[in-house]
Amino acid sequence: MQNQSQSGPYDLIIVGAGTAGSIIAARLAEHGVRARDGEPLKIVMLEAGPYLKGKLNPGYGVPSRRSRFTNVSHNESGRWVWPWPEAAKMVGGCTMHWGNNGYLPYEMDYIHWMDESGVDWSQDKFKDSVQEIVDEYDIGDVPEEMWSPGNRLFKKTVESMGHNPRYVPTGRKNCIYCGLCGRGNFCRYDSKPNVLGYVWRAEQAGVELIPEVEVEKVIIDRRGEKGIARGVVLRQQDGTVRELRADKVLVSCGAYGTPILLGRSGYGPREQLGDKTLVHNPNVGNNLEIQPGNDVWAEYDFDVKRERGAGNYGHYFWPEFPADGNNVVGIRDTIMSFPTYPQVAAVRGLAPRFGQAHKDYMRTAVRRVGGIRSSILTPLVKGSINIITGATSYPYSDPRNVKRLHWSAEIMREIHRKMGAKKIEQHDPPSYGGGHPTGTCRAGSDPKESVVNPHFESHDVENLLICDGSVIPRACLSHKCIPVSTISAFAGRRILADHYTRG
Amino acid sequence: MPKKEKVSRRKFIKHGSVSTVAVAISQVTPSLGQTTGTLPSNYDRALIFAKLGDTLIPSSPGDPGYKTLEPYNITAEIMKGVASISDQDMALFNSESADHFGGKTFVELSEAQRAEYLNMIVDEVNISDSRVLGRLKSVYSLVRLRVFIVFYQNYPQHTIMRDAEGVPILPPDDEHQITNPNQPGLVTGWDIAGWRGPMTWEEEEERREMSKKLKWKQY
Repeated sequence: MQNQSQSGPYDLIIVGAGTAGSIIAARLAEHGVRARDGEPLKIVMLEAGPYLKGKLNPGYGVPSRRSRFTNVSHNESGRWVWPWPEAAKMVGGCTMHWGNNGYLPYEMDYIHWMDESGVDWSQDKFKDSVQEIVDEYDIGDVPEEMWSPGNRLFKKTVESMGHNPRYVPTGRKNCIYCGLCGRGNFCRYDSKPNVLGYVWRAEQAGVELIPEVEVEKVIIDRRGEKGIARGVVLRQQDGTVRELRADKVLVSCGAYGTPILLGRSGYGPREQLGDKTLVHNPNVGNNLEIQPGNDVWAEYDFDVKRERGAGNYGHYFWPEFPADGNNVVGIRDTIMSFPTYPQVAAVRGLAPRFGQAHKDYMRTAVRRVGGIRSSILTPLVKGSINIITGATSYPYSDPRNVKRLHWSAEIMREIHRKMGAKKIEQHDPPSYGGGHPTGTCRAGSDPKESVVNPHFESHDVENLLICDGSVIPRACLSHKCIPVSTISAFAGRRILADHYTRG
Repeated sequence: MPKKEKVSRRKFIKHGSVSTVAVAISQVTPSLGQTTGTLPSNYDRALIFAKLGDTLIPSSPGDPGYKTLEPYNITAEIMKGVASISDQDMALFNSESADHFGGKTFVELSEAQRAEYLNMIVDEVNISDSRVLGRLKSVYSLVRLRVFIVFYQNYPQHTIMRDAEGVPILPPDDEHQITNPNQPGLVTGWDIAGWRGPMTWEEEEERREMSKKLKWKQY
């Protein structure tokens, strides 16, 4: 280790200034004190990516972000676009690029979490946390004026088929409806809700934020079969390695980043870590749930999208909802809302082969070509992540997934037909690499089945806390970003009460 | 003449054999993703890509297409993304047309004949050797995908100049930091598709006014 220096001690080191880290940092800094003496907390938050500073100015944006976020297309959005799953490695994390659909956790989500691993996360206990996120992200309904023609037609058609489409709630602040946010682009106008407001509040309350440092490992001292967290080792951009010491460490690196960091720290399955194992827990990196999905696109004789900009996330419905809430498929007209990128329209299966016919198709395709999307929201299939290599293993081709996706593809084709599509993609859509990973360090009451307890404390390593998408015991009907946000708001309250309140 | 020496270069390429003839006559240096083997002396990889691009997105007076962007090196850009297609497969693609178009290779065909040849491959007609057909279809699919993506991502105005920190370099008088790479004067994929890219400041202001009139209903 070169140039090693030691800083601290801190009361708390937060690793990761993304969704969870930022929300919890603000809560603890604003309301917490050291339990032993009532003094203000000394908190440091570390982030691997850059910090594009500037107080939020929704509707306009600020130079630091506006200049970098170009709103061009996904591959020209800037240097902070990583391949999935690390789409936005920067202060603000996933909230910088998420699709801003604001599905709040459903009653069934809480039931699933509690049934899956014994957490006590009931809907009633989350009430304040949910309201906090609704207020912070300004979650609501996009006015009907901003619906696309395809959105209107989808709703009417699905209703005529006997379903109950509901509007996809979204978070927006002074949005000008440019229509470029739905494909993972950063928002140059600060209209897409993010956690930078929390970051600003955390800093105002004294949190030290250090961007562009990579945490190499959490320092864990072994205590018999268990361990105790002492701090972290980090590497700065210039290669300097530093050690920070703290009473507690909170890891919030996301559903993929967190198990990998724990693996580098010697905490995880012995089968993978071998003689580098400090503390064994087979659940680190396991119980991965994602939401496999597929699209069916169609070409229309008329415009289904707006000529310029777009408004919303459209509607969704569940074609059937089993009593146990498992294997539920959500179908939505999201890709009827946003203009279709030319390069996407050009290569869809319904485009003419080539030549003049293809060129003529392209002249209006961005408005006339749209898709319907389905996802298995509560899949029955689990995978894992290798905490050494970072490779994920997920059985997309499990018959339970495939059967469900074929079934939903037929429904989507039927909707397109009834909507009056001219040409509909007929191939069996392959499942795409579903997103919204959860469960890789899941919370639970049984140490044999989980990594942290319902209070976000590691079962095995004292003074180690974890909160991000990895702790969510089951994939959610409410997708991912809002559940992570509400669970983080909830975690902030619990950690505050458990550790940073006097007396 | 021994039987194996009767194998024409085209037949050789067609059957992808590398075991015998290649050893005797090949001077080809294999590259990543390529199999070793001989190539016709007139083999011109770039020309085949250029003709394919022109067939996929035709140009005509008043209606620019792929060929219009040749002065901007679009073929070189296309070739950066298709290194996985071997020279043998490209040569086969070029030579196989000779069996169906009076001995003419793909690059020698007229525009209409090139289109007919591509349709023949996609429709799987008149090409009985399934292995050959598979290789031809693979070339067609990969090149088609690459050409359409590059062209309709607005090549050559598809990127924004950035400094070492990743910050777009804008004209000094652009105080609103409008970063639309698409410029007037050259017809690109975005222009054909009617894709206007990021908004101008004036459009933003109009939309802010519109946005103020909308009623937002928070949950």
